[in-house]
Amino acid sequence: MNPLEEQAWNLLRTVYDPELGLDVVNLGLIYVLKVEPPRVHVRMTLTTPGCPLHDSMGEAVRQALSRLPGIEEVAVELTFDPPWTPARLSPEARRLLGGV
Amino acid sequence: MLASVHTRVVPLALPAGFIFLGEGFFLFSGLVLALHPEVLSLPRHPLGLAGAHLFLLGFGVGVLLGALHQLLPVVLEVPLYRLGWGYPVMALWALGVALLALGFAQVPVLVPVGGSLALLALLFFAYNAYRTFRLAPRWNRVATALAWVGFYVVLTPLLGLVQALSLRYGFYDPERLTWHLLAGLGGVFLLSILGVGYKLLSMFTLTHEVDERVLGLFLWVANLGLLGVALGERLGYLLLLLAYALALYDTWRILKNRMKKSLDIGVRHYLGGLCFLGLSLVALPFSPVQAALWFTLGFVGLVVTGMLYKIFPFLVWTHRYAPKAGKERVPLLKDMLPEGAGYLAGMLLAAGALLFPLFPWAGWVYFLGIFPHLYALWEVMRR
Repeated sequence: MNPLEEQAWNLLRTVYDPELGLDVVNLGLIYVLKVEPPRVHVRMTLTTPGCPLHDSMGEAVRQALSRLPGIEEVAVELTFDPPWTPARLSPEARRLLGGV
Repeated sequence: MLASVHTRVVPLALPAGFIFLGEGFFLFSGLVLALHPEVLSLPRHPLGLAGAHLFLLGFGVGVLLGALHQLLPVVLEVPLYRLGWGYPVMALWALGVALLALGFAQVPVLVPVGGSLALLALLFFAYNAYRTFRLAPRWNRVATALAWVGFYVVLTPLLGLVQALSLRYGFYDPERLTWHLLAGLGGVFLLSILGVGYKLLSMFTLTHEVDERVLGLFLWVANLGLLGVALGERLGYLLLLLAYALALYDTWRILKNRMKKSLDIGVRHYLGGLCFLGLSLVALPFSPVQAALWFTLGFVGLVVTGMLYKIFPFLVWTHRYAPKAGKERVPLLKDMLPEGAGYLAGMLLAAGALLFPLFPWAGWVYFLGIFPHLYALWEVMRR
């Protein structure tokens, strides 16, 4: 992973699901992250199809990645294929949710 | 940003308008109960009817309509057919409830006027929901529950209006009052709370992989049970008991499979409400008035107030903080709610609901419980 990608993942860790209090990386919502300056492409999901955070989370991810140096365009694609499952939660997320 | 579907952001004024008007009706209904507990001893007491309609049609249906403007798109995965129609619905419904309550309490001629406005509002909403259903890319059983709610939400005021007109024009039938009650309490509130509760409980506890077949069976059994009770069949009551058992089983499965282990304030209120539902069903054959009170004040009261502690912060967050998310640190939903006030309200409402059918002074306990509840929602707006 190059330093810019690492920075991108760190920025994504600042975007929280306000209901669960967990960031989108630990929740396993990010399917694809491609950092190819001046463009970033993210393919992500939400925990529930039709989730009411549909617009907010995508926009928050776009805003966070816009802070990367040398990036002019951030494309966020929301998908429910494949659907999110709890298997995508990180060990840290499981611990915080009380599942471990 | 590329997105796979259209925007679903609902203006805060729409659901919040329904919710705050509903809260106003909640306060008035609590005051009527506290000041006039004697309404319980006289069937169809004018103030009792005013209080019941303020609580159920004002508070219960108001919050339901507000929440559905946000939840229908979630359940159906499609934006509302016409979001703007929510405003005339709100105006007609609020005016209808106010005139209906005033009519029952003091000016009987206003009852059919208020009832007609409320019916018009609910027909308008049901049509908007119907057009939204037709746009849904796929169907699920929560959607089926909401479709049933749409049916009953129109049937209930229709039966009530016929009842009001029949008093004036002489084709009164006491049976119709039972149908009106069953359609409202059972059709609207039982089906909406347990149907939508399935979705909300799963979302709040991060539960996946619980199939919807039990919910589908519940809907069949509950509807047949309501029909049976309306026709005076004992089997109807047994079916309602079975529906309750299915709802408990579904709740147990959701909680057993949850990823988020701690139960939050909304889930705890929901569980408290389910206890009142059981109490109400047990009491139904022996004391229908007590059963109706436990159902209304306990089941509906606790679940609706509890769900508001989840839904309302989300609405405010989406409006106020979503545009800042990703750019700066924003609060979590739990930071926006004074939970202590919410739990205090829940305890007072639960104690008041439990005792009121036995000790009339407990109406004041219930009424007091409304204040910390309102404070909690006010704080959400302020934070």
